[in-house]
Order: sequence, then C-alpha cells, then structure tokens
Amino acid sequence: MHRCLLALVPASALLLAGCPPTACTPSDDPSIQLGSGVGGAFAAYETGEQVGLDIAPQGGFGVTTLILTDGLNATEDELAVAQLDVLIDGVLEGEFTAENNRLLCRSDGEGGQISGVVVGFDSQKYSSNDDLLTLNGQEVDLDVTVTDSLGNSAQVLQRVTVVVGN
Amino acid sequence: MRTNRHADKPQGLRRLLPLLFLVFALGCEECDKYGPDQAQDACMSCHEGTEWAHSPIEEGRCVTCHGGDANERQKETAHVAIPPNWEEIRGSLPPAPPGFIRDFAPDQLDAIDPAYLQFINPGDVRVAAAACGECHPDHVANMPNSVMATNAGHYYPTLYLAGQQPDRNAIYGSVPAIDPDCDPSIPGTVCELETLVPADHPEVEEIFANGVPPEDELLELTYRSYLAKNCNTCHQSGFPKNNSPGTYRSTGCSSCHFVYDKSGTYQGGDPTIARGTPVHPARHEITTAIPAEQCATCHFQGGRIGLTFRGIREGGFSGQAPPNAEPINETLYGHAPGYYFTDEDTTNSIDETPPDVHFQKGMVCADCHVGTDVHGDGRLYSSSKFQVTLRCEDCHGTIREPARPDDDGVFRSYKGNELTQLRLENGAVQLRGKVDGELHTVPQPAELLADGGGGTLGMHAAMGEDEDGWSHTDSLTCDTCHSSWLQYCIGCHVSMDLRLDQTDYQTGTATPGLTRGSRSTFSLDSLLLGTAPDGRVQTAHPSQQVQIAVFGSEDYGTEDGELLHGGLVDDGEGGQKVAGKFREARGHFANLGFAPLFQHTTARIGRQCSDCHREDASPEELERVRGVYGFGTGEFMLQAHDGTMVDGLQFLDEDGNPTTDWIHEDTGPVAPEVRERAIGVILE
Repeated sequence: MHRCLLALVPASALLLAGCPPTACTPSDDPSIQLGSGVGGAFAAYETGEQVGLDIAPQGGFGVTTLILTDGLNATEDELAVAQLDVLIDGVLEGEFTAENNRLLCRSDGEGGQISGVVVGFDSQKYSSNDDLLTLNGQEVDLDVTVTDSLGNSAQVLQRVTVVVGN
Repeated sequence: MRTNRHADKPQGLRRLLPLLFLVFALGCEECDKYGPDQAQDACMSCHEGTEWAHSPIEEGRCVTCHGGDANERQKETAHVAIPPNWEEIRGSLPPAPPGFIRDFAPDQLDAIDPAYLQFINPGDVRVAAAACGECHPDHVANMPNSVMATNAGHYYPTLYLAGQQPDRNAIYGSVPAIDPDCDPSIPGTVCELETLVPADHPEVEEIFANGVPPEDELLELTYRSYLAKNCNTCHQSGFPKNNSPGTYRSTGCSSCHFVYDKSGTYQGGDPTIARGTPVHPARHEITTAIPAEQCATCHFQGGRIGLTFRGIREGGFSGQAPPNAEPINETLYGHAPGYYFTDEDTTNSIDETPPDVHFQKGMVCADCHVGTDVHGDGRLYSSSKFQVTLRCEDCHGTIREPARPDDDGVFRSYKGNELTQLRLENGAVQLRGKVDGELHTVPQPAELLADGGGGTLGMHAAMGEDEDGWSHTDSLTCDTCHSSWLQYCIGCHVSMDLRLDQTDYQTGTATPGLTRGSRSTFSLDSLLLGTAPDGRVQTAHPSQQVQIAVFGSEDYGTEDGELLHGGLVDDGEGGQKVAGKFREARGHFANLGFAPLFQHTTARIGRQCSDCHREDASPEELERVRGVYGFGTGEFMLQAHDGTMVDGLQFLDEDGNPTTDWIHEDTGPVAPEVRERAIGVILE
C-alpha cells in the first residue's frame, strides 16, 4: 500500500500540469503514415522501402499496410473511409475505396490505426505471371486518403518498392 | 535506417503517466487483494478488469491456464519469459513486439518453448492438455486428429487427381498425426499423416542437377510448394498471417472458442491489453456462442461455405464484377475492397444470393455442427466428408418420421453424434440458438405432409410419396432442391515461378518457387448433379480444376522464365499467352475434379422441377437438362496448354462415360439408370 501511495505523487503532478492533446482527436493539420508491423508494432515506410506484394486467394494482389493517423477522429464507435490508389510513374494502376474501416485509437496514444488495408493493383491489368513479375522491383506510389467520421481528411503519397516473393 | 518506434523503444513517459496515475489511483485499495493466500492471483493487480474467461475456473486464477507465477506482481517475474530463441524462430516475419508469436507457422510453434506457448495461448493444440484438457480431456485428445487440425482434406484431392498418390487416402497434413488405434476398415480413415514440406534450395538444385526433371518429378515439386504456400494457413495447428480483417484468429481450441472481431482488436476491460491494434480476441472469454464470422476466418476459402451461408459470394474486380452488384467495400480476407458481393443486381427487388435460411433465423454454424463434427473422434479422416456426420434429417426428420430423441432423451445424428442443442418440448423439436439464445422450432416435413399439416401443394408434389411409395427424398439429399444458389469456381490457373522464393506456411521460411492460383471464371446459376457418399443425388461442383504452368530459373540451370510445364496458346488478340497443362491422370486428358457439396444456401422453398427435368421435348431442352447431369454446357470453356478447349462443367462424354475423376470415395456422376429416368421426364 505504501508503495502505491508513493507512486501517486509524480503521477498527480503530471496530471495537474495538464494532459497533452491526443492524436486521436481532430486537429487542424491531420496527417497519416503508412507502415508495416503486427501485434501493435508500427514501422513507418521509408521512401523507396521494399515492401512485399501479397497475393490474395483466388486472384488479386496488393500491398497490405497499416495506416497510422494523427489528428483524425479515432474512436471505437466511428468508421472511416480510405481511398486506396496506387500509381506507377503517375499512372493509376489500381483504385479502391474502403468503407467501414474501424479507425481505432491506439492505447499507447500514438494515434489512430486502420489495420490490414490492402492497396490493390487492378487485377485485369495484372492477370498473368509475366504481369506480376513486372511489378517486382518496381517503384510505386501508394496514394492513400483517410476521411474520418466527421469529414476530416488526411492524405499521404508514399513511394515504396514492390517485392514479389521473398 | 528503418526504425520500429513502437516495438523497439519505450513509449513516451509523458503519455503513460496519466494512465499510471489512473491505474494506481483505482488499484491501490486493492493492492492486498491479490497474490499469495488471496482470492485471486497477483496477476490481477495489473489485469484487473479482464473478463472471467471460463466460469468453472475460479475467477482471477490466471495461472490455471496460462502458467506463470501467481504470486508475483512484477511483469518480469510473473510472466513466462520470452524464449531466447524467439527472434531466431521469428526469422523474417514482419516487425513485431518482443515475444509476438501470433503469426507463427506450425513448425515455428513446434520450436517455441511450450511453457511460453501456453502462456500466450493455453488453447494451442500442443499445450491444451495442461489447460483445456483438465476438464475436457476427450475433446483435447481428439482435436489434434480432427480435419480442422490436420487440414488433410486440402492435400489428398489435389494429389490424387494429379496422379501423385495412388488412392484417396490422405498421406499428408499440416501437422504429423497418428491414430494408434486406427482401423483401416473404417471408411475414410488412415493411421498416420506426415507433413508436406516444400523443397529447399539444395533439394531443388538436386532435382535439376541433370536438367529439367521428368514431368512427374516436376509436378511433385510444384504441388509440394503450392500446397504448403497456399493451403496451409487455415487449420488449428498454426496461425494465419493475422494481418487482414476477417482472418484474425488463434490456434487450437482458441481458434473457435475465442471470438475475434473482424478488426482483430480487443474490446474488453483489461487495461494492459493494447487497444486499437490487432491481434487480440474481442474479449478474454471462452465461449460456445461462436458467430459464423469466426468460422469464416477459415471457411471463406475451399467450398466458401463461410461466405455463402451469410449470403456473400466471392466476386472479382474490374471486368469480373457485375455492373449493378452490391459490393462489400472493405478490405476482407486479404482482398482489396470490392471483391465480395451481397447482391448481384441492386436494380431489382430480388437478392440473387440470399443468406441461408438458418442464418436468416439467427442461427450460426455451431448451432448445427457440434461434438465430433468439429472436434473429431480421434480418428484421422482423410476429409471432412467422413468426420462431419450431420444430415438435415437429423434435426428435421424424414418425410415419414419426425426427428425424435433416443430412449435416453438425447438427439443423435445418424452416425451417433450427440446433438445437445436439440430438445423435445410439447411434441415439438426445438433448438436453442447458441448466439441468439432463442428457442427455434425445427419444422418437421413429416408433420407438414400429414393430413391437415399445412404442407403446400408444391411440397406434396416434390416431397410426398407417389403411388409406389417413392419420394424424391429417397433419391435426393435435401439440399439438392433446397440450395437457393450455388457458387462454382471454374478452372484454376496455378503457376510456380522458380525465379522467386516465397514463404511457406509449414516452416515459416522462404523456399524456392513463387506460387499462386486464380480461377478462370465462376457461375452462380449452373446446376450440376452427382452422387453423394450415401448414394443419393446431390448438387455437385467443379473442384480444383487445376492447370499448371511452371517457369524455370537460371539458378537451376534453365533459361530464366523458361516455360517448363504448360504451353503457349492464342490469346485472342493476335498474341500468345501461357496456358497451364491440365492434370493428365488415370487416362483422362483433363482430370478436372468434381465433388458433391452442401452449399449452405438453404431456402425454405425448393427448386423448380424444371431445374432437373425437361419442360418440353425440344432438342434445346434436352441439351440443357443433359448439362445438369454432366454432359457439358459449352458455356464455360477452358483452354488447355495445346489449345484444346475443355468444358469446365463436363464430366461425362456423349456416351455417358466419365471424363474425369471425382474427389471423394463413393461419389461420382448420377447413376445411369437414375439419370436417364430423370432426363426422360417431360413436365406437363
């Protein structure tokens, strides 16, 4: 019990000094990052970073990514929309709209997160084995826009290098 | 330099302190409540608020299942330590916090310290005996041999149809398994299973040491690689990738009995479990109220019954999508948004792909499939066809007798599996829904067909006895008429490219060959009829109509990208394209593969008579109905490696001889005498 009371002193001081603004509430300058990771890990993509191309069962493939938001409304009750486009040399190679995404606030306070989003390539353009291999080592731009339940949006254009296979 | 800021460095103290304050402020009065000689383990001093997992286990007795030290309050000493070889075992899997194993493949889980595995997931098949097995020894003893754990049914059909194994007895599974009391005379059982491990680099080099290997050897290499890399994430002995909405789940008993939200995030009261990020069950609760979505974490593939049961059909992108369909605009099961549909045409008032009537009534998979259906009985079955023992009649009775319990008051399936969800009350068969908690009265056709029973004229015509005492239900399974729609995937292009490596989900490591499969096309309204294992007619579907293309690599002494198996065919646009070679086995040019399948799209109203019988005597009508019985429709033509066109819905030649094998023992085309009688009927 004594140990518990001692711990209250610094904690109370910080509480009285005021909480920092959370990254899970709307701000004037919201931003998003794309990255990888599982189990709560988030490693933001660096420009040109190599990312794996996931092949979905029965057709279609894309980059499975995490979206970390800062300054968008991220709660357990709200859903967000993500526009997921991929471009090569400025040419659109796939565009998908993901609705009903749970934009959840990470308990570590680092922001909101949408997990496991697939930024896909147009499966009609990339239907054969040769098509798939043209993507290996290809620099692509992942153009992702997230709009929260209040209508606030943030966008990122992330250049990565696609790796097919390991 | 790439950084993993969340996994590798401590969180900002500034943000954590208010939380610390809260924990201390709320927790101090309880400081002496937990630990030695107290009502709950010391773990609860941090995990206070977590859900009581399972009522027979004392509340707050964490170590009963998880192990660890019940008297320690510090995480470092209370938790089972992360094994020193964790990082090595993890290998090249995506960035993760220390100790994370919830995306490990079976071989990786085999290699991890069992005490740590139990700490993370006491329900894992490798350690469940020490936790779940304390109270459920039979289930825990049987489960490792069940088809959901061995995945055996996903290996032998492909290999058998390819001529890679002599019969339909399973040889391989996702995990090695043995039945010490095996009795080979029991249909569909084997005594042991071994794992199918892809060839590594040295082995592939050896296979190619003398040039391109013979076709059989090349195909064996391809199938080993393809099956381990594509069919191995859906079984209870290993985790899936756990990186995509809809697929989040655990292993072993926890695969089913811990429910995961589609987002894979925790929504309970434990303050220490991270919120907002996968992979956690929705709540720390063991349950038998398992929603259909949980089963669909695996059953979105294969027969797709986890989708069809809920009125969802697999679709496609761009040109494959119907113009007015209602897509599910979400990332689901690893697909980009828009791959799945709930309605084919929103411009009409009909749902062409409605959910199964049981689902519409609030029922879930676990309301029907219980006991040995899901846990197994300790036998090693080659396929779920032999493990699952439920028939519609077990709950609904026949047209002559309503379903009734045995003398001990217990309902049982026709093979003796206890159906504990059923009860007889006031003469009515009732089912207690596991998720909705409602009592559902189970309609009994025998009662409806009785005088004054309320059965419609159509029902009497379709199900009632004729003057000879014969009923359609004597010759047809119930679902043959009551499946409201069918999803057929026709043609399956499989390729392996040896220029690239790919992680397999047996070992969790990268092995030679990038493999993938994609279907040619699909149908929602074609009807095919075959023979079920019980001898009755049942809806059948094309299954694993594989045509394979293999591309070489200079690493193994061929030209880079050289087509080693398959051919080049006209692409219809003035060029050429690669076409895989069909399985040439057992005398068939294209051993396409067909199987009876309960589609799980049950509707109260059955099919039209004209679906299986002629409406008039015209040649066109004869051709249409012959298509139902496997003579081909000409509608779905697949191009073989030599340009030959193969009908994807044909399994009989003009003379009624089989053109392909069927996947399962005792299944096949409708018996000739039954077929001819049915085709001979012209409706008035």
